[in-house]
Parts: sequence; C-alpha cells; structure tokens
Amino acid sequence: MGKILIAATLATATTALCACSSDGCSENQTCVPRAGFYSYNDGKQIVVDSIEVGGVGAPNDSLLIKGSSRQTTLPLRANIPSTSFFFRYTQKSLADYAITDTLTIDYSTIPYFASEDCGAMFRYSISRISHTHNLIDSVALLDSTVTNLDLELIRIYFRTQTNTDNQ
Amino acid sequence: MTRIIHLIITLFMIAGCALSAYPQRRVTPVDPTVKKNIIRQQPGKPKPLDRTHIVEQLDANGNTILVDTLTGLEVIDSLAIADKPRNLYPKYTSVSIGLNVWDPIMRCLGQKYGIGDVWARFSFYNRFMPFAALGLGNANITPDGLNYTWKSKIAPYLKLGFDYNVFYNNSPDYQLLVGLRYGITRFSFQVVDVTVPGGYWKDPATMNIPSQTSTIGYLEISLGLRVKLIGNLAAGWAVTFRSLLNQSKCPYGEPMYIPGFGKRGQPLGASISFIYTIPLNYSPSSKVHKSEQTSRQPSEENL
Repeated sequence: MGKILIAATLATATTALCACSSDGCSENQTCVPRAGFYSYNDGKQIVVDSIEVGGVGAPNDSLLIKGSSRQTTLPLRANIPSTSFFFRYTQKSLADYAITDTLTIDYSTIPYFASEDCGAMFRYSISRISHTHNLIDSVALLDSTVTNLDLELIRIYFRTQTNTDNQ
Repeated sequence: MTRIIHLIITLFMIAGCALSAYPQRRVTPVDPTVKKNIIRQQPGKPKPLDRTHIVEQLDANGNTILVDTLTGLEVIDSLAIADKPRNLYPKYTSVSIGLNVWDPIMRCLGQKYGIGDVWARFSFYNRFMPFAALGLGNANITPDGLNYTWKSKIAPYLKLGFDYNVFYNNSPDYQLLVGLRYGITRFSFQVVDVTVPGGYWKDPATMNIPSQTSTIGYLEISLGLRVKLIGNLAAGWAVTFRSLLNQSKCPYGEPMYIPGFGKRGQPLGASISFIYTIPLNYSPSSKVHKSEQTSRQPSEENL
C-alpha cells in the first residue's frame, strides 16, 4: 500500500515536472521578410559586390548590409503601412555615378500570437512592391504573407554584366 | 584404521554437500513403463462412467483423478479443476463521484491556468467503467521575459470515455485503471498588452490581439491508481497523455491554453481526485469467496 502511494506520488510529480518544461522558441520572434539577390540574365542567385542596403529614414542612417552579400532582410515598420529601402552601389566603377535604387513595400499588419515561447508579433500581408530601375530590373514576391518563419519571400533581380557585355 | 574411517566419512560428507548443491531429482512412485488409460472426453460424444468402483485420488500435480479399481482406468475429474471466474463482482458494482483537485493544487504552486472538474464513473463488474467529467478552466498568463498577457474567460469542458480496471477481480478498494477519453471545449481567448520591439527601426508598437473563439476536441489516454482512504472515500492519481484531434481555425494565432487539456504542446498531464463511491450490489466490507462463485454441481457430461 505504501509502495503504491509512493509510486503514484512520484509518477505525479514527474508528470508535473515534465508539464512545466518548455521547448523554447525554435522560430523567429519577429516577422521579417528576407530578399535574395538574383541575376536578371540567368535567374541564378548572385553575390552583389560592394552594396549598401538601409531603410529610408532609419535612425542614425543605420545599414542593414554593407559590403558584398547574396541577400538582405527588409524589416517592416509596424506603425505605418509602407516602408522604403535604398540600395546603394559602391563598386569603384559605379561610385562616381552615385547610383541608388529604392524599393518600397506596401503592406497591412496582422497581429498574431505565434506560441507561448515565441510570443506575439505582427505578421504582414504585402500588397505591393515598387522600385526604381537603375540596377534593379525586377522584383518577384514569392509569398505575400510575412511570418516568423525564416524564408526567402522576395527575389530582387539585378542587371548584371556578362562576358558578352565585356566584349 | 581409524584415520581411514575418518577419511571415508569426511569424503562422504563432502560428496553429500556437493550433491546437495544440485536440484534434487524427483522420484515418483508411479512406474512410468505401465501404460495408463486416461479417457479423454470426445466432443459431442458423452460417455457415461460407471461409478461402481470409482475412487478419488490425487496425481503428482495435485489434480483429482478418478480411478476405476476394477479396470485400472484413470479419469481426470474436470469438475475439480477450478475455472478462473470471468467476473467476481456483480454487473452493477458501484457509482463513483470524484473531484479533480490537480489544478487547484497547481494554482497554489504558481500555475496560472485551470480550475478543476467533477466526474462520475459507473462500474460494471468492477471492470468496465464508463466515465464522464464536467469541468471549468480559464487562464491569465504573463510569461517572464515575453511580450504579452494571454487570457481566456472561464469556459466549460466535457470529457467522455471509459476506464478499464486491471485488477477487476480484486477488491474495488484498490484499482489500476487504464482509460481513454474524448474531451471537448469551446472558449474565448485574447492576447493583450503586447509590446512589439522596434528592432531596426527603433519604434516599438503596442497592440491587443482581438478576442477569438475556438472549439477544440482532444483525446486522452490515462493510467491511474485508486486507493481507499476511509469508508467510501478514496483518492485517485492519474497520468494522462493528450493529443489534439480537431480545432476550429484561429486567424490571429492558436490558443496557448485549452480548458481540460492544459497548455498546448505539453502532452503529459496529471490528475488527483478525491472520490466517493456508492456501492450498488455488493457490500464493500464483505469478502467475495471464489469457491461460492465457482462451485457447480458435477454432472456426467463434465467427466
């Protein structure tokens, strides 16, 4: 009888401990779209050399990337329905021309509770993407809903130089 | 000479000890070369036994055999082999009413959700036990280090299922129960006081996620013990494994807590109940005698 009581108490206590455990947040705690850089010529992903990307009106002119990169995040502002980003090309051959592209994303915010560990956040539903056409040829939107999953949602196709162009 | 005798005695003692270490060989007084005539009952062909010269004896295994002293025939007395009774307890054994106090206890220990439930269990043969529970649950959770408060109003839940008592032919005072239940609940919940950090833009936002209503069904498998405390009062412990079966869509995120289920993503649960049992067709104090339950009148057909 005593053994049964002890076993039952231990089993219950173990269950209580297991019930209190948490797996943690395995996803992101914010919803930020990720954009990959692609070549307009062949559609393959490329590494853009000497590029600066930042938000238009970002505090302290802080940059999202500086240098060479094959992708960038484009964090959206929750309090307004549109966010713009600049793409500044700093290669030697282009620096003198101060070529900059601007990409603007229009969206609506959706309050969303992800999970106990990841918490609450804003999801975004992208309605439109517009951009200038200096070096950006086109932009593809793969999924209009921005969630906290780490997915590439936007593809930016750049005009790239080919061997034929050099000749 | 004396030394030789002592030596022989010592050798015998050593040999005796060594042999005693091995299992003792069983010696039966029955001559195995003598062919026994054991009558096996052929199905559908009852053969009457002449009881004029029949005597009862026990065989080496303790079974009762009937020996015809005239012909030497040995017949196994099938009536003397006690069948294990299927159910010792009457069909309508008892009704139990329980109060699950797991959530109130856990609330005292800091848990921020759950209220409790009352349940009833009908016992058939002290073995099969239909189960129903009706409870209430709510939540008000603000996790440390996170950016929200999750709230749900007090909502009811219903669980239906059955338990199986593994020790069904033992005293109902002690039961080992395996159970399967389906639970269903409909409740409203909302997430308030959400602060979304500003991140790159350094402009934090605050919001409340609108109230949502969800209907959720889930399955529970439980393993429990019930132990008599005093009189008709007993205590019960159970560990449950839970799984969501169906739920309605929630556009602003799925609920973190489900009444009767607990927190989403935590399949293990537990319950502690105080139980009052109303016996129906037996007295808890009286012992059930196997011999009374199993005794039958012998007949020629059974031989």
